[in-house]
Amino acid sequence: MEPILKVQNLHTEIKMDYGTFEAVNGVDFELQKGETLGLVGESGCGKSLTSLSLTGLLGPKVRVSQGQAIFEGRDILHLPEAEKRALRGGKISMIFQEPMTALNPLFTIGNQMVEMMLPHMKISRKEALARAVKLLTDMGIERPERIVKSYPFQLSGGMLQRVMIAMSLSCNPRILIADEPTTALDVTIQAQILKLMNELKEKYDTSIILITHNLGVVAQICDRVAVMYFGQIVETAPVKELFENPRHFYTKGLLGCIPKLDEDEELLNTIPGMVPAVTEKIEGCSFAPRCSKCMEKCRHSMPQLEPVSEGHSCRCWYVLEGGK
Amino acid sequence: MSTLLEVKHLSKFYINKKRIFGGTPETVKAVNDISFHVDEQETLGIVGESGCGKSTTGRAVLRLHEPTAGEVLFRGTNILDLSEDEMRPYRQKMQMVFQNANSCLDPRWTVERSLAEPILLHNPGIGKGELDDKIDTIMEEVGFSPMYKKKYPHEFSGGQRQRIGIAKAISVSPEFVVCDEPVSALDVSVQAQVLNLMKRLKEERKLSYLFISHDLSVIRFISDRVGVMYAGRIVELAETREFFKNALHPYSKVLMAAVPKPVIMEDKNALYQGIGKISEVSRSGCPFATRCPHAMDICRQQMPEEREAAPGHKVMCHLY
Repeated sequence: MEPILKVQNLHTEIKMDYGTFEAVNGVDFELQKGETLGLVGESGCGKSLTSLSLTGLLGPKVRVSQGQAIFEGRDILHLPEAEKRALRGGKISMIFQEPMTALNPLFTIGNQMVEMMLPHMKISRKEALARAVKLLTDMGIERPERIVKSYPFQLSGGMLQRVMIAMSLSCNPRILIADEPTTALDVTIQAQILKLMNELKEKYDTSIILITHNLGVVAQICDRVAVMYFGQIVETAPVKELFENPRHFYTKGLLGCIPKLDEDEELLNTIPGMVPAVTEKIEGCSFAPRCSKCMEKCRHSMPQLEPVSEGHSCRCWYVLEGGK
Repeated sequence: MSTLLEVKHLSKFYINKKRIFGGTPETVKAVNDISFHVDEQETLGIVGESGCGKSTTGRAVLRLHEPTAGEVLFRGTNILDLSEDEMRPYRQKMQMVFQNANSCLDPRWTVERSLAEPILLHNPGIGKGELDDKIDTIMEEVGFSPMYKKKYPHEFSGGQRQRIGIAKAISVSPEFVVCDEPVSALDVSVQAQVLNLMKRLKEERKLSYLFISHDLSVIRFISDRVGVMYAGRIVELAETREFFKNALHPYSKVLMAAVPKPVIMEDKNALYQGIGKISEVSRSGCPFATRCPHAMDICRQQMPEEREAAPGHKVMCHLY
């Protein structure tokens, strides 16, 4: 099947006073129709920057230096600004971590939802408002007629996140990029939002890129996972395969250091060392300095992301040479 | 083991007098008549969602927020009766680790100066050499080479700064430390390092923790006993193993089910079981009644009493 989005060799660099650094360093992935892809990693691994590169929401000192992202036959990384704007919020939309900062405090929810729809759809203000009410109903919000007249400060965090999801779905996007959509929420609210996203995926057949650091969330709603480290994807696999048979030592480390809910543990497993800063230059494999299976070769040359089994790829010399 | 800290009927109410559009003053009962104790060398974990009063509890116990009513007994002395001067020796014994280490570190001070401040405050006569030695030892205890003490907070990563926050708390040799969400801003790999450190320090320095977190898996790892808070009350309190095997309160069960586990579950709906509608806290009766799947008539009318369902396992629910 033809993927809906095909990202190839994406490089994004940040310009700082003392040099230019690559924060996204050759990312490749494909997103299938109706699929939820989890982009996982710790702070600073480049997962958010990858998504912002796709939507062209980069700051003045950040730019895509290489690569392409093919969506509906066009490379969306190199479109003129006006065309990018037409895509954003329309066919590709985003949900951010902090709904409070993504909404304007001075306008009502309804006003902001309508404003989002008008440029992308051929509908009147009145129709758009009716659509807003319908979408909010779909989100499981009671009395949506009242909610559209409220201001963001009048709603709770979980409610606002539902409004954000409703808003992002308002123009029937083909791709929804959700950047840590539940991180700021309590677990019970998080569970509700995850349920909602699972239902919507089936109802609207939208493809989702879910960016998160929470492997628990990934296990619950993703179909496929890509683990990022230091600006690169180090492992990608279908979700079941990744959790049951992780191969890269970073993935194993990440899974190992989550405290378990159903076991007593004396000490937690840790990954030695720390996540390198974007300004660091690492020769060879970027995980080598922290890896327990580091070999001589790892210090000199960067392994490629290569298949190890059906649909499962890994960027590790040890694994590629047959190690377990 | 003897009791280090005993909290009796502690309450903290906030009165919101000035409402923007007039109206009657509103009382927010952030912490509402809670009692618990912490033994020597024990970790009591407090878990709950935002706004349940867990942080207020931590701060009220240390008198960072003056409690409205109740008693806080530290080795038998009610510290709420003490004057600020009389309180000082107790402040040395009772320290705090904050969620964001920046709130206890001055960005313009070196780590050395930040660490020296509480030591000098509680040991005014300490000599320069002794102070230096002490700071070096503490830096090593939290896993830094002593030369790092010349650096400024911004030169450290989040996890490192949290370790310095811990160093500052333990620098005056406390017996009791309130840890308010100390790892919730950290990535999992860093969280694991900091949690291991805290557990090790507890053993080595014979500390007691009141460990506040919203994350049940963190609580399970670090705590000896667990208290669950909801709407200003401790609704369930039990030994960690007992709690995770046999949680009684419906809210505890909902909370436990809602944690997304990093394993593939055949039944995708397990996560949402029993969450119900999240609506406002009930005004009368049990605060959880509006959300509770087992709510009975009595729950909406009468606040349940705390009952001991099994030895050491307390629960506040009409079901038990």
